[in-house]
Amino acid sequence: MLIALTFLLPLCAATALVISGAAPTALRARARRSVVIAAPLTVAPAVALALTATIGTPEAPGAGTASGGTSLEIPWLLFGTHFAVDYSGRALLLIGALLYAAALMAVGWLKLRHAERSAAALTAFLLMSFIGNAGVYLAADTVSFYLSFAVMSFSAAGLVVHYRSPAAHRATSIYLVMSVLSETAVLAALMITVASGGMMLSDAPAAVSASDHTGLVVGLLLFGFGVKAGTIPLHVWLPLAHPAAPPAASAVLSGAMVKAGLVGWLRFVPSAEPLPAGDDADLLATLGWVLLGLALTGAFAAVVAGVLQNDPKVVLAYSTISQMGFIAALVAVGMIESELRTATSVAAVIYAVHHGLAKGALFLGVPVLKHYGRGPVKLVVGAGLAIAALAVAGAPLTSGALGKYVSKEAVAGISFAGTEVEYLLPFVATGSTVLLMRFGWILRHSERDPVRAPDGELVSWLAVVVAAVVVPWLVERHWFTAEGLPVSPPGWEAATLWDASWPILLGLALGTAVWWLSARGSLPAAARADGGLVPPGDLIVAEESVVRVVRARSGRVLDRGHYLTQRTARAWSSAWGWLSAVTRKSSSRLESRLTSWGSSGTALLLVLGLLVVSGALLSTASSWAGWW
Amino acid sequence: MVTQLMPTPAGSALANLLEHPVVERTVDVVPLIMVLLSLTAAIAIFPLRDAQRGVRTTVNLLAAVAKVGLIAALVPAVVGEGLRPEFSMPFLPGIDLVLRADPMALFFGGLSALLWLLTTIYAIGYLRGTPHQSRFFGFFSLCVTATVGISFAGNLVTFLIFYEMLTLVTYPLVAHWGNPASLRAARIYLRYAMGGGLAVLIGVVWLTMYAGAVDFAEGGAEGVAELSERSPGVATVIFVLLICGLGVKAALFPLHGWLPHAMVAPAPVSALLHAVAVVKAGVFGIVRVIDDVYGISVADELGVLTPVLVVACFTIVYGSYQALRQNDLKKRLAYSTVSQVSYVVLGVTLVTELATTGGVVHLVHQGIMKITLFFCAGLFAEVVRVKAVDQMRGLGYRMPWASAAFTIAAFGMIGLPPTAGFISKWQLGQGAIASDHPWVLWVLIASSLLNAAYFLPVVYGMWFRDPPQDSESARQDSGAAQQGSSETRSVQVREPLMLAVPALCTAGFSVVVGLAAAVPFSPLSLAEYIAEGVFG
Repeated sequence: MLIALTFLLPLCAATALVISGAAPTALRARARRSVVIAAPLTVAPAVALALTATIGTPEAPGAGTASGGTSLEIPWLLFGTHFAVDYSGRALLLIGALLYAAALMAVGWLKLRHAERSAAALTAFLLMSFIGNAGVYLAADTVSFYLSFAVMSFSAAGLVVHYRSPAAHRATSIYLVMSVLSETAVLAALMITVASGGMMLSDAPAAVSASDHTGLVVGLLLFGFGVKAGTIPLHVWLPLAHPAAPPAASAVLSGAMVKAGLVGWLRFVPSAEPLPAGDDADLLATLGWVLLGLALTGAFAAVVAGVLQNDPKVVLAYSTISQMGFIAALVAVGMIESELRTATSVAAVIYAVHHGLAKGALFLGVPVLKHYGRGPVKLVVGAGLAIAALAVAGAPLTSGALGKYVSKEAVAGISFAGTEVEYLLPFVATGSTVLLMRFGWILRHSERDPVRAPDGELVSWLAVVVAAVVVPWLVERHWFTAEGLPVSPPGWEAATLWDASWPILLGLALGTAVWWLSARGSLPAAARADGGLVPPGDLIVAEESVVRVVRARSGRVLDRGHYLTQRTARAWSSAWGWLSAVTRKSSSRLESRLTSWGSSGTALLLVLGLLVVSGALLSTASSWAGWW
Repeated sequence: MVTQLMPTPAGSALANLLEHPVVERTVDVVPLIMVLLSLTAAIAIFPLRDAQRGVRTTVNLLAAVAKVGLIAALVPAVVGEGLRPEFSMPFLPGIDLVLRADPMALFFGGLSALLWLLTTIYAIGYLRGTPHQSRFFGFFSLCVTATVGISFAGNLVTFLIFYEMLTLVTYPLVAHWGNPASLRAARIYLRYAMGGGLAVLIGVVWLTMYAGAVDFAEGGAEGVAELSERSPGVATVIFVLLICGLGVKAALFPLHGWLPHAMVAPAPVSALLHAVAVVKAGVFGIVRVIDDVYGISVADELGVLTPVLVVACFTIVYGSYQALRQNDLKKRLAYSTVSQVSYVVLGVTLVTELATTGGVVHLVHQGIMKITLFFCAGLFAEVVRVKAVDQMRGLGYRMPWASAAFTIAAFGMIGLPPTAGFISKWQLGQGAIASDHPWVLWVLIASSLLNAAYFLPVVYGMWFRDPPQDSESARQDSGAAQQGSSETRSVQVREPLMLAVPALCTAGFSVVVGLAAAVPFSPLSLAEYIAEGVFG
């Protein structure tokens, strides 16, 4: 029931927004305004669902659904649709719903003169993205999962393009190209999965292992969901889409939507272990190592690209890439070592819960600082932003410390390139610290508008900040530890606190050093932090020019090909034309000859003569035959 | 679809009713009535003067509605009760004209009945105030007569007669505008179609000489099975003749040349041509030949299916590629048809039940999606004179309803859930993986990508770009335009109801059919029923 409401209420609101387009102008504006104001409430069933849902037989998160819990079956929809709540779905649904509600509030609960242009369209796209996003978390069968994934991906295009600026158009085009590639890869993988018996998500990883093309399917899945999760080198859409989209939309993009990629991995990718040792298992492990390599590269390289930017939202986008690299590393370890699979999955989900809320708070905070960045309210805003930033960096006592600690424990014992992953991960926090210092620096020097009276934007942001502080701990305690899942929450000993602190202190030192050097002017002139050295979207700039060249070249080759085929066709048709002309001419010449008396008489005589001769020949032949 | 409106619990009562001898005989005549209905409409319309709009519209709509009703009444009898109402009369010595309502016939007949109704409404609105309407609607009805005949034909000879009739009666429709371009297109169409018809004729005569009058039978005709055992060479040659002949109308590469030309016809004609009548008649014939004449196992043993599969795959990719190169909207749609119709051929040549289901269901799915696109193309051309893809930017603001319908249908063509196209693609993909040719999956994937490449930018431009400006003035104040682009967006125009409503209906169908794919009597479940029959 609640599952149905989770989808239907937002769907009704979105439909109302669309239908109101048919109404006369005055009525339309009023109707849309009231729907936009009511929109945040339509997310309520999802929150209620997450809080009240029961999960059936205990199963590892990521292993799909369990029987007996809260679920919904719609046999007539598509090929028969199933939705259910599981551990990872429940936790992510909660933060997803919170973020979407906050985003909808930030868009809708404003004075009319402060509202975004065409807030109705933005709200409708947010609602549709939410439906898709919730569907990804709740789907229990492959087709519904794909449906939700597609709804989410394509609705998000409407969020990115919202401002219709040239930058927004470019970002959306690139986003759409990446999304279509991702969708197609996922579709191919899911079709093969279902063909080997993975119609229900609970059977999917086993079906992937049982398939004849395990390596191919896993490769496609890593690619398809990697686009969403911002794994390098597929991350290129993130640094373009985030600054182009309205901040509320960026918050859900970074907070909830990129997590859909994580869910896809958890739901479908099997571990190396259940496979019989052999080619497939080796291949899977190899793919795991590749993902681990890419994930760790992304986690660190994104920091370098990010500090060179001067748009706060681009910096945050790179921070997301870095953090998603951290999460992808957990998934990769789970692929390689199946004993660690459950632990890494739980850690990834807890980390995603923490990161979603904290990063959402930072994104929502950018316009909040602009609009409330003066007077006494400035202190509240500054404190909130600082808390969210500390959480992302993983300072002690914050939700970030929880996520990082849990993850570090989960990957204990795995080493990559001669270093224990456990010891590599804290340096991601150092990178985050540097990135967020850059973010804070840019924000400090940003322009501020005259301060507004508190409205939905401020309130929703404050709510997200509070949630970012509290919710991950509660989720860990009540939804994971209490359920007996393998989580090791951090204690309060000095050693643990120090473990959480030193990467940040290192980051602070590093950041300060860089700042000091640049203030003294002793950095090389090329290393300007204005997005000039590394343009936002880094690789995409090179890729775009490659595409341009290839397009021009291949266009020329193809044109030549078409010229050839055209010439062949023309030669062919002229040959036929010549043949028909010859036939026509000769037949008409024959006809005119035959119509004259003399020639037709001659023809008659000729035919008669032939008949007589052949008759004579035949009779002699037969008489000879008889004689013989 | 209409068929879903039929209540299932009434089944047993219906069965009793159907067993009554009088009723049984009446049911047998229904296929004949279906054919005669459209024919009568045509005969009634031809003598009307152009000004007699009311009478013509009434006749048209009455016949169309009656046909939808009849089909809807037949579905539970045929699918639920397993009846095969059949009407036959002697035609040549030893050869009967047979009209039979089997599931396949109903499937195709249902599509044509429903889309004919909508297209008639659309055409009445579209042609309002233009000359030669009686001629148009007369031939339009004849065209539907031929289509109904094709769908209910019970043997190859009957099929051939209606198939040739279709060629002849669509010529005046393609040439309707009477300008040089239409006449040329119609001439090209006629040449292709007559050539194809000749091949089919030779094939049918040859086959009849060896195997007698070939009745369509689920799982293949016995005579043909014997023939292919006795002399596989002859059976193969006949198969090639039939497929080549039918491939002309089905626009298989390299026989597709007429289709992009024929798009100069009036929009309702293009819509019908692409969605049900001509192209579908060809591909329906291919399905009949493979499944009901040769039988899938016999054809598979002959080894003739894989070449057809390869041709279909090539056509799919080639058609999409050509579509990508077109700027004229209707041309792009025409090449898209070339590509999409081959999905059906691909489905029936993969020799798995899943793929056959996918192929057969795509007959209907492609029909409702493609007709929507052509309805919309006609609307754009009529209302705002937009015919090229690059002029379509910003259309979403000017014609929101038509644009919405176009968007839904385009998503369907790409195969995005929850549209009908996704259901087809998913079934075909599953069928391909289960078959001996799993590589076909990559053809489907490539085709989706290409479809996305030529439909998504159009849809994106419609909704998210500003309309193209009149060049000079736009360049001068481009700065101003950027600041307040909402002001420069053109105002919404009124979309004529008679054109917009059919488009919205078919767009709605293509979502409903996709969403409710698992409901009894949905196209998918009917297609599954047919595929079960094909594989015995």
